[in-house]
Amino acid sequence: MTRARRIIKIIGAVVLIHIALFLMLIPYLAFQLIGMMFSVMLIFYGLKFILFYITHASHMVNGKWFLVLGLVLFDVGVFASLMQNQSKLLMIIYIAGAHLIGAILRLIRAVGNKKDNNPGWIIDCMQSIGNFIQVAVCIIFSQYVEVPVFIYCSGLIYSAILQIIQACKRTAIVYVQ
Amino acid sequence: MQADFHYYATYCAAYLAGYSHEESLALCYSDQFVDCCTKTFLKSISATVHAATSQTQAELVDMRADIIGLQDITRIWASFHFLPRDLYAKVDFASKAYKNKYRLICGPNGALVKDTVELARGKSIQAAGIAMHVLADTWAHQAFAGTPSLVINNTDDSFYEYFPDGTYRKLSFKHSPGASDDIREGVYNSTVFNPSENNILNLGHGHAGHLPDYSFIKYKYMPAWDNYREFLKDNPSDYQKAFCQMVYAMKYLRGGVETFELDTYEEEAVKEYIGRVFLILHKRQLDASRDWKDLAKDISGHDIPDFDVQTYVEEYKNAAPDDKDETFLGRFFLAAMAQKSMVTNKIYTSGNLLAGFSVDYKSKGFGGIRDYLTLVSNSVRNE
Repeated sequence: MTRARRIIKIIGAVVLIHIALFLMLIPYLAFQLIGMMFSVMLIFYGLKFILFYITHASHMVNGKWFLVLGLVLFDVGVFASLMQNQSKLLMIIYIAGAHLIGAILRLIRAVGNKKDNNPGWIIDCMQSIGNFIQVAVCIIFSQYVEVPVFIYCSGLIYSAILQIIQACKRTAIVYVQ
Repeated sequence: MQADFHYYATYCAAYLAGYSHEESLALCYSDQFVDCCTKTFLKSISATVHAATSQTQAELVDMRADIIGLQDITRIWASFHFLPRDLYAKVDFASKAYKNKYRLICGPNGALVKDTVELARGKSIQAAGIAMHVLADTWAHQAFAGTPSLVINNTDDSFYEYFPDGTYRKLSFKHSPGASDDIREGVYNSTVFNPSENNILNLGHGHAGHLPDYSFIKYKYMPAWDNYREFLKDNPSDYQKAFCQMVYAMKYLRGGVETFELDTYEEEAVKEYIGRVFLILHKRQLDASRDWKDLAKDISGHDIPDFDVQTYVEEYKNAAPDDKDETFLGRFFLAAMAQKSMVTNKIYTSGNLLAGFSVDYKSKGFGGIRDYLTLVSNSVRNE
């Protein structure tokens, strides 16, 4: 990784941490903001997949799945944008849904890695359990505004820290003469 | 293909084509060195990184998937490992972006194979070695492209291995980096699915694992680009053709044949050993180096030293700056840049920018990456 890229990664991560901390301070407004961001993101990805289907995936074996995925994301995104007054519900669905998907994917990966005797299965398993706990907390404390905002912002901080660790990691290969 | 074919089999082919033992060694060394000449290696000996003919996994992971990064990747992989078969292939009702990727699909006996072999004629032994690597890989890596592309390089999960007695079995894949393949159980390692078109995981034959690199295996699968048609890949047969075409190409490079024709294979010179070659190519093993090495000794009467990437490093490092181009590695780097420059130019002039821009020195003078000045001055000196 080049030095410039490392610096950009670290700056990006620091900015992300500040945004997350700021959102934690204004949980009621954060609801609205995250809800809006969520719907815009879904519409963007929906359009991206539809465009990808038209330009590329229409020629690909099983490429229709990209069209289906694009249409579903776009539809959900538009629906979410119309429900801005229901942003609390929207956000709980988003956070709980995202963590649930993450938990299931990590669990599948952990099972595969265990089968292949890859020690990485333990980390995958722990992360999966962490995701399941977050889903449970989100649902149990759904009546409190602060809880889903706190979970969402913790997720942002966690990925920012991972980004910093990645930026500081040594990537050059040792050349042994 | 692996070192067993790129190193030991190439030695056998070179010797059968008429090269001496020493020339054959230099040639097969250059052939195998194509897989080792990465930017990391080049930096370690203070050589130009633009002579890179391969990339390590770490280098690939570290690359940005922006247009510059993608062009750099494509220049390396399309020029040396996935030579496009037809840069003007017709695709109905497709976008330009899709056509550009489709036209980089690798395959044997394309116009660029002829260009590659002709480019190496009258040049160094290193250039011949590079050309043989490229030619051999057109057989092994066919149906995949040397550019990251999900819509081209993805595969269906249904892989079936065919046995000589006509039976077949389904193969399965796991995605554990570093895990070895299990021939007995039919379990192979491959890259994990990634839905992003330009992700590095979608480069080359990663989704088929190392199947294209094993000479023994005959298998059927469904490539992403071929409109639900199944593709039967008969490696033993393809590798045998590659071997015979290499002998023919090297005879041409030595001046024994006037013109290099596509779809032509040397059979006369190989006749005596074709039975041994057939047996090696059909033997179920992950690495056939031992067998090829024994055959090489039987053909030439010499022991073949194992490949060592360090063999010519000291010579290059100790040479004076003006003499570096005359060292073994210096000549390899020049030949590599010539090949990369030629393929990039052909892709560019076909209206495809996936490998980047190409400036024709003869018509427009020098432009672009300064390190290519060495190639220009060398070419002028030769003329």
